[in-house]
Amino acid sequence: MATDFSDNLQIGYDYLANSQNNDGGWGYRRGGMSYVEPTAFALLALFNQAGAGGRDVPDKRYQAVQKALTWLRAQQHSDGSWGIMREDTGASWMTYPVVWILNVMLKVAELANYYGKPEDKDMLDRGRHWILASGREPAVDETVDAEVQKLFQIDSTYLGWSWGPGEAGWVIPTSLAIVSLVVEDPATMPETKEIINAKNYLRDRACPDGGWNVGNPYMLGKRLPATPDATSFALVAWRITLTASDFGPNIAVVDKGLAYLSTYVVDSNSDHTVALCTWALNLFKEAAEVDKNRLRLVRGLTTEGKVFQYKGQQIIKRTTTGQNKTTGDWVDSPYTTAIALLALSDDRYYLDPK
Amino acid sequence: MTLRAKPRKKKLTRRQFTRLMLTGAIGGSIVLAEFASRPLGLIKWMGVTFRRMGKGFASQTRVAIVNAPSYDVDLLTPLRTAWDLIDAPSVVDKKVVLKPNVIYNLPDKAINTNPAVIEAAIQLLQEKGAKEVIVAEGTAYQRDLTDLLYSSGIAPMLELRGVRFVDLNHDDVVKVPSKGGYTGREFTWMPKTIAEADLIVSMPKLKTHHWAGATLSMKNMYGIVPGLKYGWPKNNLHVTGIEANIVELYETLAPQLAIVDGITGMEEDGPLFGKNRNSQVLIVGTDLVAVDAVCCRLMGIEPDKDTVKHIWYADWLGLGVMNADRIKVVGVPINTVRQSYILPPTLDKDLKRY
Repeated sequence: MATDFSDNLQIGYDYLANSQNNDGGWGYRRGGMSYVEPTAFALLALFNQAGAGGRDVPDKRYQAVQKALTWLRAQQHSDGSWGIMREDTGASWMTYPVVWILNVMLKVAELANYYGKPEDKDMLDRGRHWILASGREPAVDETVDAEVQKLFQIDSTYLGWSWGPGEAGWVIPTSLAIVSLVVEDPATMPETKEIINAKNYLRDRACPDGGWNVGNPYMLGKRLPATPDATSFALVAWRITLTASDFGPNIAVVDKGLAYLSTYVVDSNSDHTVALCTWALNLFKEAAEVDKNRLRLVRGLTTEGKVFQYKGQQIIKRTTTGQNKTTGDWVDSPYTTAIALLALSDDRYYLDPK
Repeated sequence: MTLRAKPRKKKLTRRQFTRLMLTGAIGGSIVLAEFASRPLGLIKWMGVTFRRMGKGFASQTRVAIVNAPSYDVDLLTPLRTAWDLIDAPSVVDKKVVLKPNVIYNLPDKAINTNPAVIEAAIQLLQEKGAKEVIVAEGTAYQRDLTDLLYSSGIAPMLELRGVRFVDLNHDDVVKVPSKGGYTGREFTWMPKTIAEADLIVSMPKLKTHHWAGATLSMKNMYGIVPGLKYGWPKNNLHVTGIEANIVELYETLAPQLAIVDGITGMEEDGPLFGKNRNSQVLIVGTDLVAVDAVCCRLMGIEPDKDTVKHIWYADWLGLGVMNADRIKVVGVPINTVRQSYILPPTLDKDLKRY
């Protein structure tokens, strides 16, 4: 029988409401400066029906969502983008998660009803326009295509999305951009030319041994290993875009990515990485494995600690502590907690909002 | 009929002619000088010239080389020796940030600054009266570096020493005016931990680098800028000119000390895939340009415009000294420990976005 994680979810949502900064945003750690990305992820988690998206929303959570949306709305730049935080007047990749949450909010009737404002649709359109017009990397001069292929074994005609305008494309921003665009209409968007190109980009940038790293599967002919963060975000993007036409090479890279992540998460010493891997894995795995992953995420290390050797000395450390049973957080980070809450819920409103 | 006098041609007097020529010559020289001094521009070029002249009157810069046969022996004693040989800064009551080079963990590759060297530096600075010692890094290839800290042995060592680690990629940020103006960036976003530090110590590994020629104490400063703004792997800094960025960050951050882990270095295809090479030394100094120049000579590379351009550039800008006759190497004579590292491959600059 599946474990009931509803109490874990509830104290987690309370933690988010309690850890919000006075300005309405959230930081990467409690009390840290408000950034756009953790704010968008906190909202994504709170949009759950069990969080602040359903009936009888606890007032504190409702107020937290309202305040956060006000904070985000005030920060859109005239070109439709968002910076990384309030003082950042430059366009940035954090536009992608904001467009993602706006899409979700406007598509779920209850959320739109509770939290939507008349101007949100226009904000969303301008954000999406910026992603398509300026978020993607510029094309590479064809004179260097062959050299790029030789040294990095990548096809530079596939264009990914960048961390900032005018820069090269990388796996994490590309994955976030894909989700932010496709979530608007998961039934038809995966067949658009931009998304097909982006999927080709992700397949092309997959590491030969499985998974993804920043976006360089090879470095001057040598294999650069995958990392769990890029792999997790890439898998979330694949989850929302997979169609029947992906059977073949695309499914093969997804399977290899899942295999890499399933192995990696078992030995990870980071609560954040465990949360991220669990979230991505659970979007693909069967109930029994999902349950096992969630238990690991909630409990952390169940032994006294791991033993590390340093210069002949033994250091015992409980590296992953799981959810704090009193305060509801993971490593006192709103960002990690938001991702962990997404991983604990079966509700996929954030990938297929209705 | 009235006769109109034919207008007389005004003749220039000799004095007027001389004045005109003189004004033209001065104006022409200014225009010529402006073009010749680009991209710096005349005013900055004059500042640089005065700074270089000032350096010409300064006494020789001291760089210490001390023997350190392996990571398993006592490294505090040789580090103390090095400290006493250079004009070390006072650290009493100061908040000191140690910035090691932590990038990737590949089996049997000497990529990261070894924890034993970091530990010795912590002990030395605590012994010298530092108020607080923090270890900080903003790694380039992944967002969550917790696992990397454990696998590299740094986290267990920090646990043992009770020293705090700060992830510079996700720290609070402040806007700092960029000094030098070599990249066209008016300001740089900096982690608050760095902005509030009284003293920054660059702790790189002795390595070659396929883009920069060598990666040493100045290039190590790349790890300080936050990934949240500059992305992972921070390649947009490469795109706007790798040398210009290294030098600008060095001038802006003004690290006051370098401790280089040269016990096991890396030759050929650094910074990740080169071959390990035992040099069995630690290199310490307060002028990072001089330290890097000495490190290059230890690797058998004479730093110049073609090999390791950023060192040459920093020297030319008067930010430190590169020429061997301006540096006093103290401790172990350099010719007794100099080796011939295999040089990194030379790459096309157009590809640096990857």
